[in-house]
Amino acid sequence: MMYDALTCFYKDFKFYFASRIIYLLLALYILISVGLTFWGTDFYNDSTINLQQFFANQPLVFAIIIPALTMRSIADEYRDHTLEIIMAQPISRLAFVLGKFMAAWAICGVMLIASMSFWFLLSFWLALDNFWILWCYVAAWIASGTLCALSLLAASFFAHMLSAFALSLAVCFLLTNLNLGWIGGLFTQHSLLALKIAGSFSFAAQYDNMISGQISLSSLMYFASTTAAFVWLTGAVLDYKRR
Amino acid sequence: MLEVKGIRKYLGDREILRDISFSLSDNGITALLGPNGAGKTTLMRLLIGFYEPDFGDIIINGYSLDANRIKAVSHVAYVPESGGIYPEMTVFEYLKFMADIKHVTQADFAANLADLASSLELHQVMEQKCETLSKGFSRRVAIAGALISNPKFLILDEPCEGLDVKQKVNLRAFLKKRSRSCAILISTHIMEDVEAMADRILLLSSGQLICDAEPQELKSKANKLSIEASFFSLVQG
Repeated sequence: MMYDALTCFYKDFKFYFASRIIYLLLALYILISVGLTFWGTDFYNDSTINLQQFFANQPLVFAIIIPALTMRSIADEYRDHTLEIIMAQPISRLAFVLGKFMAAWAICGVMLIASMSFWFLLSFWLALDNFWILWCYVAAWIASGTLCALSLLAASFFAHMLSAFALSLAVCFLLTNLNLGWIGGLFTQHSLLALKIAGSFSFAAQYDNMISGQISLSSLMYFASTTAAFVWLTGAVLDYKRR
Repeated sequence: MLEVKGIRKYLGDREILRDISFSLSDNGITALLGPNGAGKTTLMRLLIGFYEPDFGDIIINGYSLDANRIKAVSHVAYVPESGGIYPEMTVFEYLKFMADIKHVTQADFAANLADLASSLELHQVMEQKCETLSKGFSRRVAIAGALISNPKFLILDEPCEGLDVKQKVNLRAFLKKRSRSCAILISTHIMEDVEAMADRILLLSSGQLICDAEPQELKSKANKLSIEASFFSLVQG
């Protein structure tokens, strides 16, 4: 299955760079990421400057960029009738989806690498905690994987890219901004435990946990399991459409 | 052998195909005919595993499409009515991708590529992007992509649609030659293609297989001189 997934990954990764949109998205990503880092913050006067704001905003930035990145991923396969061709090949739906997911995730990696110039530039003037920053980059990439998988899942429902974009944008915003703390409040008797359980399902809480500097196994598990679930569900949606 | 056993397909509440059964041997050209909306494309999509039948099964080379889709479809190739190629790829990249996805070895790929490029006259467009190809070249590239793995069954939806006379004649000759080593199922509205190529005809009407016969048999059955007249007589009658 991995060979098939890699074949699809290679095709999709090249496809992203065949379009000029990728360069536009890359520029947009850098612009929004850097803009949000400076905007509304006391960036220059902060004595403990460490790119905290940059990483804190990454889920929001990816929630905008990733739907635009993945909206054509499945819609174009419908438009060009290539989905019929792919589905007639001896590969599993999961391998096909996995290839698409890996390609989108790799593009997120490229975007994060491109943003590193910002880090290198600042490191000339400021004494930065480079290990922490590197870890935050890894954390942001891991979190972007979950959003890529969710966005592909939303896109798999539509044969039209604008519908795919609209639903992907909505669900990515929902996931990144959903505060599940209120669920804990419903169980006043066991509120501490309930809060902990509700928090463990919250994307924002898990991401904050990751960029707080600690390598948390539960957070890694959260992102790995949600990503795997979304990828699997995308395969299931495509499979369901056969019926 | 490709066997279709009593398949039924519903799309929503509408019954698209009703109790379809037939089989294809390992060579020859079978034409799938029927008026618009008869269920031809749905039937072809079922044969490639794109759709799942609601009842019945399709057995390809001994493998059930329902129980063992991956092994079953490894013997089948399909070319849809339009598109079916990646516009952003070059012709060579597309053919390589199709070979990779079917696990064709490098040696087989090189041999098949040389054969198909010369038979379908693709040498001159090999490095060209698919989106820049003319309709005739697009069809030929899509067919080359389907044949790059030497499938046992080739399913073509309107293969000659939009081609000029010379291209049609060449493609018919190519398919006829290829049909000695693989079974070809074509869906078409062009009766000239059927007269020129078909060894057998499957006639679909309102989701039902109303005739499965050789061209001569079909004409005698309808008591007409041409396939076109026989088609109208059987579909309307």
